[in-house]
Amino acid sequence: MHPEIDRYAGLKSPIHSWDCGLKLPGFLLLMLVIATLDGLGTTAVSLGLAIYFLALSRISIGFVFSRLKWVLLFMVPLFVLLPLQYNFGTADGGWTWKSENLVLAFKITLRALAITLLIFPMLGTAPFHRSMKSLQDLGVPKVLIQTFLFTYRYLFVYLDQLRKMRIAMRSRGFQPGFNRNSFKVYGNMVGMLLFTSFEQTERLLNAMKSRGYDGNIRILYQPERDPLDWVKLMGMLMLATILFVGDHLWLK
Amino acid sequence: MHISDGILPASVLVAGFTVTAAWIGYTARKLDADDMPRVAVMSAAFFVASLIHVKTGTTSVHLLLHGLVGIVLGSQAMFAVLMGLTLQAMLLQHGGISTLGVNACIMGIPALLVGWTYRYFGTGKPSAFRVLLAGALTAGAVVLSALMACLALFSAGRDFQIVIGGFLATTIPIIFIEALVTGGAVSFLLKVKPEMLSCHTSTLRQSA
Repeated sequence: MHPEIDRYAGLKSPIHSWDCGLKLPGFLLLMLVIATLDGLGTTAVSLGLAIYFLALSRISIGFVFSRLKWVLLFMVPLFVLLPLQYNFGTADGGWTWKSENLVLAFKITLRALAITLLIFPMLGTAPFHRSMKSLQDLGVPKVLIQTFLFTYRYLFVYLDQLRKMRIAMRSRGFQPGFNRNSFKVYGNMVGMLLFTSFEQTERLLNAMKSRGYDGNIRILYQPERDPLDWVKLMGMLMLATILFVGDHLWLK
Repeated sequence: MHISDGILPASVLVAGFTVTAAWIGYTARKLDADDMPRVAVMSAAFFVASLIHVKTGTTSVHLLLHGLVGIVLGSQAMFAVLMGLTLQAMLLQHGGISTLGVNACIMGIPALLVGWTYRYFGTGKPSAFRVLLAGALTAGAVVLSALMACLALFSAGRDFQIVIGGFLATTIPIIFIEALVTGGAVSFLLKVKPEMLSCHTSTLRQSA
């Protein structure tokens, strides 16, 4: 799977047109509020909101579903593992089935899905480097952003090398298994990936320095905020506040 | 070793972000422009490790490589771990956004300990000893990460006891796999580019 998240950055939607410098904090705030929700009703509403924003962004549903496997892989077992309880140190010890924990598993799944779905309208509606530039403008340390951009760039180099190595290993008859030989091959593969990447890094850094790299990454994008961008941010703040307050009222 | 969104209480999420931000803030001051590409290479390696699956009977587990990140980067390991985790959460939806701080502590603190211990005990020692040391320390890092993840899950409530038990059971093969793969990678690097493992990146630049 290609980890490119900004495949749909070229579409047109109200979220695509929202300036990144305001869009990122808006969505991040909403995500953090959702992470703290505890009421079943409010978590369900938060998932509804996430689906609404996803639909508004016009990002392909198939693309999103293909990326939810990790979330579901972790969440599905919770519907068995959370209700299943063992009573330690009690006279009536042993295994019990606590049905009310199904609700807990359901709430966790709703929260996780809501936050994960919001990642797509947040990051998938603008080119990745523009989102990073916006974070830098928001005051996130420059060194973090630049390392992040380098990492993103290297990902594709690594993935390409990994693909070539896998082909080479298969063509030499490598059969992966849980044995010492397989681990030695995996160790050599990881070592080779690091070695070649470090060699490339040396050359890349020298090439960048020779072109005037001084630790600052400059891109042509200049944020152009109009009043509607601020209105959208205010709307997001209101939603986050309503969810937070509603959750506390719901619990009472 | 990733804890997903929606599980942990707000207090643990805040504590995770606070510890991570404090350490990143401290190390970011020492990181100069020349170090960034090297940290990024290890961050990318940490990210890609999650895509390398090793078969364990009927199922498979993915590599972590946080021990190797610690051995190569030392004090900057937390930086690479945070980068890798953030990209895993954003691009693969693996882990979580709200749990980034906690996950960075779970993977980053053991990586730091491995880096420091490897440098302290491994510097100037024969290759065979360093390979064994790297493998043993990585096994310890996986155990420590698992214990920290269990502690975080336990903070979510006693009802997570079976989840924690299942989590610990799946960790056992990872301990051996990580130790052997990291030992193999260290053995390979000691033969082809030993300076990558023995000193800080700035020293590496001087030796290049």
